[in-house]
Amino acid sequence: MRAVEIRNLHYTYPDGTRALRGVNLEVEEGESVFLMGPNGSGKSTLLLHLNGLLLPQRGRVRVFGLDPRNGVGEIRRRVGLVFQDPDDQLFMPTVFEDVAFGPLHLGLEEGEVRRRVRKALGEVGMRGFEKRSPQHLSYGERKRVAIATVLSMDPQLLVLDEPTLGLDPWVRGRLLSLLRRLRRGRTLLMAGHDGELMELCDRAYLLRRGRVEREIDPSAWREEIEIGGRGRGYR
Amino acid sequence: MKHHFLDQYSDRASCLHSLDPRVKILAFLSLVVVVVLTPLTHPHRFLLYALLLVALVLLSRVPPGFLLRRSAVVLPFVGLVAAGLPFLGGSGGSYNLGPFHVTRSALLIFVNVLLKAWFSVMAMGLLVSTTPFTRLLRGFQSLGLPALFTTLLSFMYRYLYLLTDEFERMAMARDSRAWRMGRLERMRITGNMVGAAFLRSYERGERVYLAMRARGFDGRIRVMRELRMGRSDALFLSLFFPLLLSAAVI
Ligand SMILES: Nc1ncnc2c1ncn2[C@@H]1O[C@H](COP(=O)(O)OP(=O)(O)OP(=O)(O)O)[C@@H](O)[C@H]1O
Ligand SMILES: [Mg+2]
Repeated sequence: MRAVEIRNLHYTYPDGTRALRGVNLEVEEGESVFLMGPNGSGKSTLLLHLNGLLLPQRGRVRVFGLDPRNGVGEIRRRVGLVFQDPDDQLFMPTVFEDVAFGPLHLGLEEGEVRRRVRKALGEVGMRGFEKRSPQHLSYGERKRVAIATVLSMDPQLLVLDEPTLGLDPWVRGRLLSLLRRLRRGRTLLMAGHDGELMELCDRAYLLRRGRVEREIDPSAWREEIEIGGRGRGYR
Repeated sequence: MKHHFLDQYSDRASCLHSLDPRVKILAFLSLVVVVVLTPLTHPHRFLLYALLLVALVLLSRVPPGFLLRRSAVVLPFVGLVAAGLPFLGGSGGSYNLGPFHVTRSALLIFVNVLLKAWFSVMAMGLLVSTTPFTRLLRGFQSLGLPALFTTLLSFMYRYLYLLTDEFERMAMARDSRAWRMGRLERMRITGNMVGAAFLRSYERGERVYLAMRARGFDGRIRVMRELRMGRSDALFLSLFFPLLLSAAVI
């Protein structure tokens, strides 16, 4: 089954900014796909459509065959979305409660919730921070907790918006190997500018001015940046 | 950035800090109720309550100066009562204070209000200073306060930080770019910043709400019950209540 299918998707923000102008893309189940594109090309806006936080204004979106316009409950159960800015993601007073929020709202029982929180925090190397409040953590630490809040939900499709942005090289390295492990048996969709992150994906799309310009070779990111820098302008 | 609005010192370690929040809530609330209900005809009881409070403060290792300063919030209210005193009648002798005559019973009322308000605020201050806000909410919740209410409070607590963080960030950005500014100019810019901080926090709030929905929030709040009473809680209860009650009847 297709994990994601997007056809001719348009989205205009209330202030008139046309962020998406006819996006087409698909992600097969079990695949890892990367979205590359200059700042402001619409990557984050696109990802918000994947669990029904934004609904298509024109065009169609299918996630595991489900139409978000017919209800988003089941979609949210299956899709885990990590926002670009961890401050948007973390809202509970302690790290533990934040990571437990998703599993609790999936209706899991408390022992299982506790187990999941432990596992997720272990995976991002944040065990021992359970009682701290997210707003008193450093940016990179917050970013890792934000990723844990979604890992604890064990989603079928993991959507990550610039997951490595702002991480130190050590933590980034560990995150890359975590993602390498996670992509087995799971569908992954990531956006960003990190070449190594792109290299661990099966396929990649180049987004530009709210459209998919073309598919690109994930191992050829250096060349893409070269071409992009020459002549085409920033967006 | 680290702020403390409510629960400064609450993350310290002491035997009072490690107690179950429910135990502390019950203990401190009973202390307040007992103090408020004690008639002033038994002044020695207030001495005993004070001793109990001092013992608790020492146990908590919260600096007494901090608690005293914080308990000064009662002063304006007590001052208000004091301002009305000369107009109260009553029996007993009266005293001359400068141009005013204050009757003995009016003075008693004043002392009554002062002591009770002050002891209550001290007790509550101690509760808040020995219990992190989240644990306090958790405690209230398992004592029967609805989850909706405690969750709202916990969001309020969180947004308070968001708002001040947002403002502080902007203030830092202003000061790092404009180090020489007239006073008028500064005021104008600060005014703009207050508006912008609200707007930014509002937008942030919207995005946080999106994040909650993305993680399965459907308007119904679910929380874990993770409090467990231990031996030290039982010990504290078995010491505190007999002491409080005996102080109240002696
Ligand atoms: N809340 C909003 N209101 C109005 N316009 C917005 C809003 N959010 C984004 N935009 C605009 O929509 C366009 C796409 O933004 P988006 O955040 O999707 O880009 P992006 O590809 O994720 O960029 P970046 O690499 O910087 O994260 C941009 O032109 C941006 O200015
Ligand atoms: Mg983005």
